[in-house]
Amino acid sequence: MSTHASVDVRGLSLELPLFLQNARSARSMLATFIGAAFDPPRREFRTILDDISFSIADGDRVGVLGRNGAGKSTLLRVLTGAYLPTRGRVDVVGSRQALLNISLGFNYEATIIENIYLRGTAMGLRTAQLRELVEPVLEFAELSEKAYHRLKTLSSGQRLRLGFAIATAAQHDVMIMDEWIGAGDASFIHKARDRMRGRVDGAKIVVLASHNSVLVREVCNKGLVLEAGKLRFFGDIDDAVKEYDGILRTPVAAGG
Amino acid sequence: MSLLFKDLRGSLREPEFWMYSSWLDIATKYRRSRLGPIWLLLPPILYVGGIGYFYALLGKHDPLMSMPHFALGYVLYRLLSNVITESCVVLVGHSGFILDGHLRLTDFIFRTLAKALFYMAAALPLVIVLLLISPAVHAIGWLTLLPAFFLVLVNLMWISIVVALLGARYPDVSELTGSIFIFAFILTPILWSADYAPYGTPHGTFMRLNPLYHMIEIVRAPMLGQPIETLTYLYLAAMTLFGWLLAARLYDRYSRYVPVWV
Repeated sequence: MSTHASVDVRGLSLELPLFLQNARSARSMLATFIGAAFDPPRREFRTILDDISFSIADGDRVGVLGRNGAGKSTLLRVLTGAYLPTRGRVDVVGSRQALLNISLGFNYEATIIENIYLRGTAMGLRTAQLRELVEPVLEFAELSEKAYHRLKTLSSGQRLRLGFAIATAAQHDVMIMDEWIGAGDASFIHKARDRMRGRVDGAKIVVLASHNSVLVREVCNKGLVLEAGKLRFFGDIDDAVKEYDGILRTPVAAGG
Repeated sequence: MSLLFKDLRGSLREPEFWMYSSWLDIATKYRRSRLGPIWLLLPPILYVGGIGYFYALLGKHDPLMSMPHFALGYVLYRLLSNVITESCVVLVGHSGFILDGHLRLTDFIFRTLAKALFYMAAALPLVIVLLLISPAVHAIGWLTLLPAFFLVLVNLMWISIVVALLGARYPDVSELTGSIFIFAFILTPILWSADYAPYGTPHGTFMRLNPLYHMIEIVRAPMLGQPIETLTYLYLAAMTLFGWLLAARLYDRYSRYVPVWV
């Protein structure tokens, strides 16, 4: 793959429909019950992302920082191609692999090996590639001796390792990851960091959303700070973490 | 080319995901049960052998003569009902994949189709044995069996696509189809013969409005040596044509909004 991967976002705004229930004063328990059943929700469009522009070059590892509800996951879903921008444009050059949901597509009754095949096929790998996938994945996830155990019997930390190992096993140009990665233990985070760093040496892009500014600082070289759907900062990771810490110290704006 | 046909071609060229995941769903479902996949055989045995036999006795027919009519009707009806009722919720059920950027929605539609076909395949040995030993079956019917079944699948596919898109936007669709299929089993000639509702009578007209009737009849009637009404051919031709046009239009226009809906 000789092409240079890149992500270019220009003036991105996104409006999504939300279903809202009417606020009603509960006069009695009965009224509350009836209201819950019969009040039709209103469908309203809300601006989730507002006029965001940035561009990521080949080799960049970008940490997306922001408070809960600032729009981090939504931004990632735009980058995966799931949400179309309402305004503006998003250009991604290179193959994309998203890891927004770590337990996505797992079958808990099936064995580890079967789950590797399952997730592999979901990522669009062909039969020959799947066979090559098994060994390295088991090795990275440290689950070689459990290959024929049911997935159900694994701890959540082991599943996390397995999911990460599968998703990062195949070479992709642009990796988009949500904050679940912070849920692993220290040794996993260490390995995951090494793998993400190793991967970008092959000229790749990583976009990682996290609350964990220590992890982000270790993995990423650039930072993107979101606040209430607006881009507050995009640039060097250390400055981004400072900006983010500043946001955390200020109280949430009224109505936000 | 329409996005729908592009996606369909992609799903057919790379069938690994929807085939393997559907098969694994079924295989693991029975993995811990004692009888395993034998459970797959039980519903067809109970329906075809039990209800089919019982209704033959009720109607004072020779069971071997009347059971193929019921068996074919039941197997096809179950396929149609499984696919259509599951399609209503298939996109919502795969929202994780869709939000992760897996946007070839036909993969998920093929998953429901594959699962229903696996279930149908489990019932087939019983049905085939029955068809082979029953004197009611006309050998010439075997010739039209596959083309007719293919036509049913082609129609089922567009219905599944349309219902999946509508179901993703309006959860009401799932409730509606669920209710319809409970009634439809009685209103479609499966337990009773289409002869009871002749052309021109009110109940005959009602029966002929029902697409399920035509989809079952085109496969079943030749097997039993019964003539197919011209209306059935016309109905299915129109349904195939307009159905696919509708599906392509809806898919091209609305599949991009599915991530927002699910």
